[in-house]
Amino acid sequence: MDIYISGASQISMQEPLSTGWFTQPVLYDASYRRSVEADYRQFIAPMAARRMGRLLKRAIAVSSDALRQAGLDMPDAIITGTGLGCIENTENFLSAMTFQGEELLQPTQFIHSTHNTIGAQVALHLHCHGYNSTFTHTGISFESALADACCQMQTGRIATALVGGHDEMTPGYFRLLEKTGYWKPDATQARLRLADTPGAMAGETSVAMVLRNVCSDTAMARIAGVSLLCKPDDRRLTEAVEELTQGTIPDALMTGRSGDCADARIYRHISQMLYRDRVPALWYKHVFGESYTASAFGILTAALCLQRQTVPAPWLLRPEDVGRLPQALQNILCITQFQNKVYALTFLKSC
Amino acid sequence: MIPEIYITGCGICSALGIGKKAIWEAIGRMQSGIGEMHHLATAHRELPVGEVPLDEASLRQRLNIPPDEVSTRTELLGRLALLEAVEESGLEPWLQRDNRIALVSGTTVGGMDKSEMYFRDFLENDTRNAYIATHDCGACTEMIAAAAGHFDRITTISTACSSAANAILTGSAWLRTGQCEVAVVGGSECITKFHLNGFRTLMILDEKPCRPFDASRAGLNLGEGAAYLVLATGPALEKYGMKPLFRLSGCGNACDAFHQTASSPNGEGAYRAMREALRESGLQPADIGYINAHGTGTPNNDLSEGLAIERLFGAVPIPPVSSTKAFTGHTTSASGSIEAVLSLMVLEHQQIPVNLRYTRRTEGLSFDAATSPQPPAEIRHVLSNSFGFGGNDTSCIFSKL
Repeated sequence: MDIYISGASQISMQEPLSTGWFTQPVLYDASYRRSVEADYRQFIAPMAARRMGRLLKRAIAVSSDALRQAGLDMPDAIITGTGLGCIENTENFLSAMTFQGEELLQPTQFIHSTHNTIGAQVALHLHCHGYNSTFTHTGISFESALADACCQMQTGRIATALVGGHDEMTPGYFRLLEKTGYWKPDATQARLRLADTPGAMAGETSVAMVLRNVCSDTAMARIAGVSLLCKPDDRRLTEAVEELTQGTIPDALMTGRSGDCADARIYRHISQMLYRDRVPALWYKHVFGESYTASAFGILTAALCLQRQTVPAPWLLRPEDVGRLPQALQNILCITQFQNKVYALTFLKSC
Repeated sequence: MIPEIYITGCGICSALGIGKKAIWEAIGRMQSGIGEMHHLATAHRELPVGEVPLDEASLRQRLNIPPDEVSTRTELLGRLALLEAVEESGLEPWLQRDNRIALVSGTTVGGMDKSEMYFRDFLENDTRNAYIATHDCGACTEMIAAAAGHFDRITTISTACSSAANAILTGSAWLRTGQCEVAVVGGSECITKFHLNGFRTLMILDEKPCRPFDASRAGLNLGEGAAYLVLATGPALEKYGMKPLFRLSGCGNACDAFHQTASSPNGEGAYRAMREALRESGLQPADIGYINAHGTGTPNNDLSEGLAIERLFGAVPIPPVSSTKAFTGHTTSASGSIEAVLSLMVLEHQQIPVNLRYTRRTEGLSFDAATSPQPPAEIRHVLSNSFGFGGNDTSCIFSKL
C-alpha cells in the first residue's frame, strides 16, 4: 500500500512553523535548548490557550499547520507518539504532592498530566471523533505511532491520519536525566560531531505529519514501510532492513546519532555492518537536540530531502560524502535506536 | 481476506487474587476485592481500594527477583500476569530470537510508584537515581518483557483507562498486517498516590464501595492489576504448537472529543467505538450475548455508557450488562485486558459476573444491570468496553470458537 507524507510542521529550537532551517539551521553550542514558541493566537482562542501547557499549544499549532498544508480539514485518525507525555504538569502535581501534602492539589494539573492529553486536546480542537491512540515507548514512540497509522491504513480502518511526535523537556526533568549521564555538560557542535564523550544536547520535539493513502500535489515523500525491533542482533537487523528495502541500497542513511559516544558506536557499527560504510550518513540531533521523539525530525528532514531533491551540507555527518550522493535522490533509510534496546526503521521514497 | 485472530492463553492478577482460577472463584462467591487500604502510603487511607493482596517484598519473592535488581509495582504485577499467559499458551519456550513474537503493553503510571516515593531523593541526593530510568512507560514494558524472554517487537500504549484495550487492538492490527506471528497484548497498572490524588481532586472517588449503574452510585474505587492475552493467526498456531481457545472478533476505537475527563451526555465516543467493533467483527447487536461494561461507578460514565448501549441496540433487546469494577475496582490502564480475560471466562463458563451492589435502576436508562449469573441464552460473543480520559474509547469483541 502506498502511504504519503502530505504535510508536515514543527516547533523546535529552530524557527517554528517554518522550513527555513532545512537549508540554514541555527547550530547551537549548548547542553539544553528549549523550543522557540510560535504565535499561537492564529490557532487557539486566548481563553482556551490560557489553560493549556506549552506542549499542548505546540501540538495544536503544528497539527493545524500540517493539516492546512495537506489541504485536509478532518483526519480519519489522530495518532500520537510521546516518550513522557505532559511532563511539566506531571512534575508540578508530583512536586505539590511531595512538598505541600495531599490536601490542596489542583485538578487541572492532573487532568493535563496524562500522556494522551496531547492527542485528546488535538481531537477536541478539531472535533475529531475518529481513531485516536497514543504510543509511549522511549525512542520509538513516534515510529510506533507512524507504524500504527500505516497498519490501520492497510486494514482499511482509515485513509488519512494526523501523526504527531511531542515531548517537552522541563528544567526539572533535564536535571533528573542529567544525573543519569544523559546530557553532555559541555555540548558544542564540534563535540557532538566527534561524539567522543557521553551525553547529548537536550531539545524538545513538536512534529505533526499528515499521512494519506493517495498521492496529492502536496506529497513530500512516500513511506515504503516502518519496522520496529526489540534488541535485534546483526542478523535480525540485516533481515529487517532487507525486508523493508527489498534489497535496495538506499541513497542515504538518516541516523539518530545524538553525539553520545556509546550511541555513536552503535550507528557506526550499523552503517559498517549493513553497507560497509558506503552509504552517506545523515544526522539531525545536532540541529534539534535529543528527546524521546526527536527521531520525527529525522523523518521530516529526510522527507524534505526527497521532496526538494537535495541534501544541504548541515545534514551530512561527513562533509566529504556530498560527492557520493546521487543526482536524483530516490530513497532514504531512517534508522533510530534507543540505548540499543529498541530500534525503528523507516524507509522513505521520493514521490 | 482478513485472517482470523485466535486467543491461545491469558493471565491475570487483580484484587481478587493471582491467576484466573482464584479470580473466577472469587467472582463465583460474589466476593469483592475492594476493601481497606493496606499497601499504598497515602494520607487518604479511608478510601476503599482494590489492591493486589501482596506487598512489594512478597511480589519480588514470588518472582525470584535478586535483591540488587530494581523493580516497580506495575512491572511486578505485569510480570505475574504475563507469566501465566505465556505458560497457558505454551509460548514460553518460543520466547527467543528468530521468532516473530511481539508485545504490546498498556500503562499510564509506569514507574510512578517509585518516582513519587523517591521524588525528594531525586532532587536532593543521589541515592535513588536508579529509579529515574524506570519512570517512563516504555521502560516499564521492557522490564516486564525481559523477565519472560525475547520479544522481536515491542511497544507501549498510553491512552489512560483504555490503554490495555488499545494494546489488544494494536496487537491484532500487527497480526493482520503480518508485522508479527504472535502478539502478546494487555496492560499493567498499580495504584499510585499520584492518580489516587488526581481522581480525588476530580471528586470522582466514592468513599464507600462503588455501585456501578446503581441509581445511588457516587464514584469509583481505584483498583490495580495486570492481564495479558496471547493472540495468534492460524499459521502461527501450527508453527508454535498452540491451541486456539477463543477468537478476537474485532475492535473499535473512537474519540468522544467532548471533554478531557468527562464523557459526553449521549456517549458519542462510546457508541462509535462499539459500532466500529461490530463492523470489524461482521456481527450484529443481536449476536452479543453479554456486555462487560466500562461501568466505573461515576454518575457521568454509567449514564453516558448506558445511553450509548441503548442507541447501539435500538429495538434489539439489550443482552445482560454488568460492570466487574465492583469486584476489582477501576484498574485504569489495565482494565481493558483484565476485563478481556474476565470476558473470556464468561465464554468458557457461560456464567455472568453479577453487577455487585446493584439495587435500583438509574433514571434515564431503560435497562437494569445483570444481577443473575445465569445467562438467558448461550453466550457466543462478548462485547467489552474501555473508556479513558481524553475520550479515548475502545471496544473489543471476544467470541467462542
